[in-house]
Amino acid sequence: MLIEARDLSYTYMPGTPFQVEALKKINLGIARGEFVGVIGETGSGKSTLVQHFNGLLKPTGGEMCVEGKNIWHGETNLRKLRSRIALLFQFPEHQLFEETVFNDVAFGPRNLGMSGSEMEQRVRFGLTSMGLDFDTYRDRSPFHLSGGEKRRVAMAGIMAMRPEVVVLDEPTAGMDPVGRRKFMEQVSRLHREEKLTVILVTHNMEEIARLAERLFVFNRGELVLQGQPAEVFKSVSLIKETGLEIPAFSELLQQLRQRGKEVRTDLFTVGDVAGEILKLSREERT
Amino acid sequence: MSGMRSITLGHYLPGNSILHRLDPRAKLMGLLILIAALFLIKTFSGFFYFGLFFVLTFVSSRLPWRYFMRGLKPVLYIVFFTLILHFLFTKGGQVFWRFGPLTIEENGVFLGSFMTLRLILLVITTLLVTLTTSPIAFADGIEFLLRPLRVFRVPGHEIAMMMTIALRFIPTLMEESDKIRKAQMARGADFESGNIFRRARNLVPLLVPLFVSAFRRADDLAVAMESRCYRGGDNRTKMRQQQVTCLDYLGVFTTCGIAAAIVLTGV
Amino acid sequence: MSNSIIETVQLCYEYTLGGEKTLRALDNVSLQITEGEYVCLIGPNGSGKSTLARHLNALLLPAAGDVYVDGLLTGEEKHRWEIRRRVGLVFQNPDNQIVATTVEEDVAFGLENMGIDPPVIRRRVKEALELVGMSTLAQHAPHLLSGGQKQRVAIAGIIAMRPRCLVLDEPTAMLDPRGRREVLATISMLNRQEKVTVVHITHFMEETLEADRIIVMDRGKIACSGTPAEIFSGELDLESLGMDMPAIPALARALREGGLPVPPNTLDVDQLVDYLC
Repeated sequence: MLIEARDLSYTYMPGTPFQVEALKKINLGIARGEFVGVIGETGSGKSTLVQHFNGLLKPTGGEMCVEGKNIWHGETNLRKLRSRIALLFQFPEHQLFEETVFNDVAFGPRNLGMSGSEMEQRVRFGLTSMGLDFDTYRDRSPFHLSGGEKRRVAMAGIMAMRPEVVVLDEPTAGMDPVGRRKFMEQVSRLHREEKLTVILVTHNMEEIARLAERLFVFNRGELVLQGQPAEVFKSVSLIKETGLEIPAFSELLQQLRQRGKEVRTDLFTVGDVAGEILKLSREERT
Repeated sequence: MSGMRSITLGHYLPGNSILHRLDPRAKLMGLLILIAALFLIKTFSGFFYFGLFFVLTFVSSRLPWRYFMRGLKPVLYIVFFTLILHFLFTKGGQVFWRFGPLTIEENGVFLGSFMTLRLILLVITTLLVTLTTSPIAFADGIEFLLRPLRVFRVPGHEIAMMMTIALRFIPTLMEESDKIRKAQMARGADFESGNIFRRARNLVPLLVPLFVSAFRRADDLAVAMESRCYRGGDNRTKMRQQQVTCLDYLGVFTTCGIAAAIVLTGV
Repeated sequence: MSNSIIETVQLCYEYTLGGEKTLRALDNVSLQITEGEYVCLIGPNGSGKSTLARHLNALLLPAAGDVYVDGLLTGEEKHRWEIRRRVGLVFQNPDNQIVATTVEEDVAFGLENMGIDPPVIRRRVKEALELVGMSTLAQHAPHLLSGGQKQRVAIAGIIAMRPRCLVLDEPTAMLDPRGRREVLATISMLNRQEKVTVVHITHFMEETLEADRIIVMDRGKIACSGTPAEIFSGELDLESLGMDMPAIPALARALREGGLPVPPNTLDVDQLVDYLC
């Protein structure tokens, strides 16, 4: 396992009247090259969890391991770790601070001790990996870009560190449909072509069902469910209890099955579902 | 969850003690009287009686003392600094200690301890009031006390409104700064090492986004307020009307009496 | 139109981008909203939705054209506060529109601004909080609430002012699924039960399915409008307007293309299941 949590617990403000157990004995593992989804309500502990993956938070109990080694034992270089396991926070455009897009994207590489052409190459990689043309954007002010562009610049700043893993915390929140689509297309392309490990925290069930190979469902600081999307969304009542939703296609196919139709329930795209239903109707006709 | 981080010093703890139930105006007036007394006290015995009064009030407030001490922590640095400054630089009287050009002399020790005590008492008294008064009541109290100053064009309502908004947004901005700090750390930023200049420069990636965000929020809030018919303090009413009870008068008079007694014993 | 609560007549608005440059945000928008209607406004970012919303209660004034609220012209200074009382706005970010440090104080804010008597304020605050289901949290500090709860507080603050029309600018954009459901249920209850006219701006196509009418905006103009069944029938190329089809209508379209004659007014899972079984 590339990333592994063992009995990991985290308590905010322990020993005060405001103490909150945000994570309770979490055990999970994520392998290299996977695309996993983390879902759960606000406050379910999912954001707290992903901040453990790159050592931004230190567990108050249990272990956080990367490649089998506890990152809080011995001398793991946390800075280096953070460049390998990069984390993009919610509303990442709020972290932009430099005068030019180039400098902002270069912030990560520069902190890794790079300069000159090596750094420029990284910036170029970061921008192009998010579908932004290097020469068009390099000298523009990040504050004068559109919302969608800002967000892609922020992601470029993460990609410029050439991470092995990216953790994305609700990366498309507040974006319009086109912006959402464009952003996620770039991410899944990076996953496919660059073999990037992606950990996506999201509230968008349709999207995560389509993209993720595996899902982790959190509720009140506990990992209540994990598995392939099709499996996870079969637990209708549990999912609803956690405040989440079943993707429309999942619901549709499951209802059809309940009514005695022989359909697969592990399909999440318009094309696949339409194909399945059309096949069914052809079979029924003959 | 993240809201939990934002417990700040002087954060109100709801309760039902007499101190909690007193009208904020009474509490603020009492506080003003006590602060005045602190500056009039000239002897250590005066401070002792003042401290005694404080302890009694504190016990009656039923605040957890651990929580109280936590709120005090940041101020201790300033107190310590004052003490050192006086020890080293106030001259006169017997010399207690000498090291090269540095000396600690009698007057320094006396004045240092005196000032430190005064500062500590000032801070803990104020903290006691803020911990037992809801922010909104506090702002209302301020607005009321500033009312007579309207003749001098002191904008009481605006000041109170600013206080309310500041109080409302402190937790939000704390949360935000924590998030930005982590976001930059995820990009390899280092806020912990290096000398003071380096550290200050390293704060830029934190401060710029924080300011941008604060301005954006301010802008949003202004529009939202305007949209809800806000147009300053004129013709504005208040949902909560504060009722002054006998307890409040009693509180203010007692405080006044005790403060006067302490000051007089010390003269 | 005697029963239209909001009417815009050839409304134009431009933002100045510094110097001579301007951006035409609204371009000849003429629109009527009937009393009691539930209208959804969709369109990509920058299509002018928020700018339009801010014209509906005189936060912005037209560069050309007119906006009438309940027959009152927004351009006239003397009507401004009355218009803002009658048309309430709820914004995207719940954190940036809550002024006070407790829930009930915040709901009271608008009423206090209107100079209403304290006993009346208290009664109306209580009623508004009951309506949105937030009575038990009346004394809470806003930053300890969930996103959905904060948005309901914001809505209560508007409702307490007894508006005729509620304009919501992406109220669910920053919420989790539960928060979104809570807010949507509140909006639809206010429309059905309290007969408040609703103008709801959103990027989530699924949220528009219950509306009486959907208006699609594109580059400052109204691109088209119609009932959800009309808009999502598959005739319109929403993708090229920067929008999405909701899941079920998109599937229905694909099924029609594949030769299965699914009726064009199939909008949700139940309808499609019924058709297929």
